[in-house]
This record gives sequence, structure tokens and C-alpha cells, in this order.
Amino acid sequence: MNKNQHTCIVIDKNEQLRKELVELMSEQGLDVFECKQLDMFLPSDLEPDVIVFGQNVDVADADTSFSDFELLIRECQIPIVASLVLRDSLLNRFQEVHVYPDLDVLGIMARTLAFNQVKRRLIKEDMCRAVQGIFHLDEADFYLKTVEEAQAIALLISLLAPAKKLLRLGLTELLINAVEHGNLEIGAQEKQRLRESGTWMSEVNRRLNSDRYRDKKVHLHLSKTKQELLLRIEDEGQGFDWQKILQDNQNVKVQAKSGRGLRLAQRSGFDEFSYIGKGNIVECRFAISDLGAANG
Amino acid sequence: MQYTLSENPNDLSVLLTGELTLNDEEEFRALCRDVVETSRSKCIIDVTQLEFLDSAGLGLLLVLKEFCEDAGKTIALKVGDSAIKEILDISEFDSLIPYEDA
Repeated sequence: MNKNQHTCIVIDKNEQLRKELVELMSEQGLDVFECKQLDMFLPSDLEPDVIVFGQNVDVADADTSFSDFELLIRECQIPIVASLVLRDSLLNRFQEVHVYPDLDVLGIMARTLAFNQVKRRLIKEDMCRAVQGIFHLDEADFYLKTVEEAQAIALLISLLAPAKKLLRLGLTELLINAVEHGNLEIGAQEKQRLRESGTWMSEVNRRLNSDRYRDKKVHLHLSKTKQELLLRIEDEGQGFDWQKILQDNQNVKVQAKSGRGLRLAQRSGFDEFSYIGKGNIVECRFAISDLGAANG
Repeated sequence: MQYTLSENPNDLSVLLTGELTLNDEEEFRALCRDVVETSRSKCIIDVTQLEFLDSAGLGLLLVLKEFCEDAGKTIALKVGDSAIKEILDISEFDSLIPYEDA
């Protein structure tokens, strides 16, 4: 499959409507396949970029098992464009369902969604290559300043772990803590106040652009053995009384408003997790997946 | 994060999709206002199609709970076999917002 090709699948039991939709999609420059139902057998190298439903398609209810075709749509998060009559039943089974008001706008909607999906697919492929790159590293250093960078690096590194979502959560919390509590000196109570007033993000951005904070970085050092990944996160802040807080956390519910991120990190599946010295350094380690799992 | 509101005869369903993180604060507060304005006395937050949430996302769910309680509504989570079930489990979230499908 040409990875830059924009592929559409049109589904409708009514042959006349199906042909009309196929023609419409072809006019938009999409490479079109057609079928009557959601149980189509797809070639292994075909990953459609948009699915167009007509009005005459049987959609199973939420409790019915998924066909291979449906699983592909879910796994690859392929956008669906559908008529209003199918919207609710499709939402029971798929995440991204767009409704077209009439055929006049369907073509441009499908084309836009397909182009966006190709962009997403290419980014995902780039990310997989980046993960492969990390897998082949023995040591690496990352320097980050912003919350967005913390989120992106946490997502990237967690792809190597067996429990990806939990590790992503733990790493996200530790890196964001390093940015906001460490480098930007936003205390827990102050953060709570900012969040309640809806001004937390603007305050983070204000500090990131101020003379006092703009040059501060979080340093993430990664080192790897065959079995595990070791991470050392160091910020430029004043640290905190981590021994007391970690001890107190054992008796505090995770959902308590203040300090929730650290409590979640403690439970997010690190094989080892410890603060060092005054508390501006945290080290953690976790077992890594094989490369195949990382790409899966 | 994207959300879809569906008014059923006995409740309001809030379907959340995508990722609920600290990036979604503004939109989520708009969602809270939309929920409060409906007439249904029960709100079910459907997270079965949510792919990820962080501590800020958990906090936003609690904000919605507060909005509902202030408006005299009850609230429940529909979790199913959601990709975020483990995150909710380690957060002991069922002790704070009851699961609809428990």
C-alpha cells in the first residue's frame, strides 16, 4: 500500500446508493473500495483512512462481538462518516463518528477526514520509528521545559513498557510535577487554587515566559539493560519533604484533591520508585517489552 | 477529549472519547455547564471509549460530580472494559463515583 494514498471504503446494502457514494468519493480523489456490510474481508496491507456509511447498513448492538473489519476500524481509530439514521448505533461500537447533513457536503467531509487520518498515520509511523530508536539506545538524555513536552516524552517512553497506560500515567505525573512543582515553584495549594479559578495553565505559561523561570529545564536520563529501563528525573527546584509526603500518602485516598499525581505515580506499576536527597531527583525503573510489543 | 450528550427518558448520558487530561480543562467545564442545564436528575458518564486520563482528568471527573451534586443530580460512571479501567482501579474511583455497571 502506498502510505500517502487516501483510501475510502463505502458501505451500503443498496447498490444504487453505494455506486452514487463511490462516484462521489472518487471525485474527491480518494481510492475507493465498496462493500455491503461491516464483515468485509480486507487485504492485510489495506488500512482505510475513512469509512463512509450510506443509510442501509446493519450495525450490531453494543454487546455483540466485533468482526475483523470492525476491530480494524477501532484499533486504527479510522474516522466514520455516516447518515444521521445510523449515528447512535455506530456510536455504540466506534469512537469517531461524523454525521453528514446531505450528500453535498459528504464528499468534502470525507476527503478532509481522510487527509487528516493519513497525517495521523504518518505521525504514528514516525513515532514507532522513534520508539525503535529508543529501544536501540543504551543511554539517552532529554531536556524539557513545558508540560506539553513532559506529556509527549512520557507517552513515547511508556510505549516500551508492558503496562503502557499505567506507566504513561506514572511518568506523566512525575515529569509534570518536575516542571510545575519543581522548576516553576507552583505549590500544591497554589495549584489547587489556580485550577479552581481556571487559571492554572495561563499561570504555567506566564512563568515559563518569565525571566525567573524561562531557562529552567527538567533533565531526564534514560539508561537501559536488556530487561529494564532506568529513568532519573531531575529538576532545578528546591525539592520537598518527600519522605513525609510518601509516608502520609499511605493513609490518604488517591482521589484527595492535593497531591493526587504523586499518589498515582506510586501506584502506576514502577518496579522501583524513589526520591533522592532533597527531593528534586526521582529515580524509577520498569521492565521493558520486546520490540514487537512496543510496536503493537 | 470529545463529548456527546444523549438525553434518555430517565437519565443523561455523557459519552467521553479520546483522552481526558490537563489539556481539557476549559472544554470540560463547558461540558459541566451543559450537564447542569439539562432536566434529567441522573447523569451517567460513559468512559468506555476513553483512551487515557491523567490525574488532572480524574480531577475533572470530580469537578463534574460537584456540579451535579450542587444541581441536585446523582452521578454514575459507566466503565465496562474501558482502556482506562486500570487507572480508575488504582485511583479507587469507585468509592467516589459509583459504577453504573458494577
